[in-house]
Amino acid sequence: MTTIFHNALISKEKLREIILKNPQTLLSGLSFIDLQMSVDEGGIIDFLGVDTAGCLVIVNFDIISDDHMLIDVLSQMQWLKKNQGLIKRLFFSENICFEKTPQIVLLAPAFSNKLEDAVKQLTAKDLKLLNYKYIVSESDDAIIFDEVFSNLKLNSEQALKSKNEDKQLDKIEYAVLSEKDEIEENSDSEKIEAIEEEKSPLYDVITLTPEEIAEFMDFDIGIEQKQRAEQ
Amino acid sequence: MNKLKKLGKGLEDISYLFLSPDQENAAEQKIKTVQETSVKETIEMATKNICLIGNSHDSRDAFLVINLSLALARLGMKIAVVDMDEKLPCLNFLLGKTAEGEKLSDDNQIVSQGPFGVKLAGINSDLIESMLIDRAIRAKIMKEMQQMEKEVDLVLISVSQDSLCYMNPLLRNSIEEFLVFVSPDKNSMLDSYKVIKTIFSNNPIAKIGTIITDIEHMYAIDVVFNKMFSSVKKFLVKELYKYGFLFKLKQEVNNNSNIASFYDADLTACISNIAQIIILRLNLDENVKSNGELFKNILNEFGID
Repeated sequence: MTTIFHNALISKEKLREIILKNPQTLLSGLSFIDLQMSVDEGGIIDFLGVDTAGCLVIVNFDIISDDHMLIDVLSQMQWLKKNQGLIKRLFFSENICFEKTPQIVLLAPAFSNKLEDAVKQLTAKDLKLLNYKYIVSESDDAIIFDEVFSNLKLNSEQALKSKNEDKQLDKIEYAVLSEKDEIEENSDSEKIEAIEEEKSPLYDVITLTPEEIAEFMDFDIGIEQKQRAEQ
Repeated sequence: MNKLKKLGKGLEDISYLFLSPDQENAAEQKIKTVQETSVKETIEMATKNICLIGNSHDSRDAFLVINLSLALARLGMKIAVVDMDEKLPCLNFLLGKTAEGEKLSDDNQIVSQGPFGVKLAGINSDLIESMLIDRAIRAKIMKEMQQMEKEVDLVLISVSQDSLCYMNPLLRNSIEEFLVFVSPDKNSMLDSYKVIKTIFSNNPIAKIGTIITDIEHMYAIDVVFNKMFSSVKKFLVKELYKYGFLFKLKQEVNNNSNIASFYDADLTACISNIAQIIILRLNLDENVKSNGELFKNILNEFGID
């Protein structure tokens, strides 16, 4: 029997709850480490997450179309870069890799053409725009996430993984609130994308030892100068 | 190139400020070598090159790269600047805006002309991916880059720390020398150290020089360099070269800054000195001609034949 769904408005709280319970539908391998994180003038990061390779992911959403989302999230990205030390201390158990640029996922019912044009000019490989559509029937409701734009690069781990197994998520992802299974689709475009990702240069992550970090964390130019003068 | 011969005494006078004591003798030898090459036969080899790795992705690093290229051009060198930075708008924009009366080349061309004969090219990972897929694009770009190499004495490649993750193959064998910006802030020093470690991990025989940036007091130059030098020696068992320093910018520089309208005497002197050290270090020789293989080798590292 066919169920008839209608478009409906969703409250911000309900959308937040859906995202919180279904991080993987936004980005493969994503898990959240914090939410509602206040960032100076950059507003609030709705969700802060990490992917399987330890790359930070900012997820912001809104129930109206607002171009300021882009400015806010870029400012938040800069804040994260400036406050790496703080983030490291706050989430030391999360194995965050700061060599990689944080990724961005923006979710809204629609994005203006102006915003879509603007993101195309960003050369950073770290942004994904998702539309959502909330639909309800008499007994059920569902939300559809539709990818509008993405220039996210696969990190090295994901790329290696993609060589061995098919991706589970297609461009259109469904997070149905009822107990229906996720719909999985694989398309030709996705395969081409995977081939391209395999060809693209992937990098080795260089990590620093605690001794190396301590060497610089203790550095104070004033004290060093005094010591030199005494010698 | 003819102007190189006139540097002589002036360079010797200031070189002690920039070179480590044990490098001074080597530098003198190199000056002599430059002067003695006039009788040698012309030989072909890859274009001399330096890869500059900035410590931030604001426009400040691009500004320094541009000024350095202009300083080198004023010393009589033919310079090409290749922007391989993922996040900065292409340097062409910066130079294009500032060059009065000069127009950038068509969008289709990779190499364009900047002020003082400086050639400009922008290569990012998107372009590299296009080259991987499309043979025609690959051939066109290779041809342009080879032509550019043959017309210049030195190629400056600009990459930011953040872009290094996409440009890792660049760190392997093709680059002659790397220049890393190091500022006195401990977090920035840690970032710079990470870059140095990344370079040595990819290329154990790399030559890495430092430019100490954001200097407010002269004493900080040696303190910062010595700290970085000793740390690299302690943990990586490698050595660094001292290329010079840059005073802290007295005014904010943004993408719209016009180079002609911006003048900072101290900074200009610093950049000019670094330009002279570069000429000394690279032992630029007018009897050496480019074989146009530099970018071919670099792109080979990216898997492009």
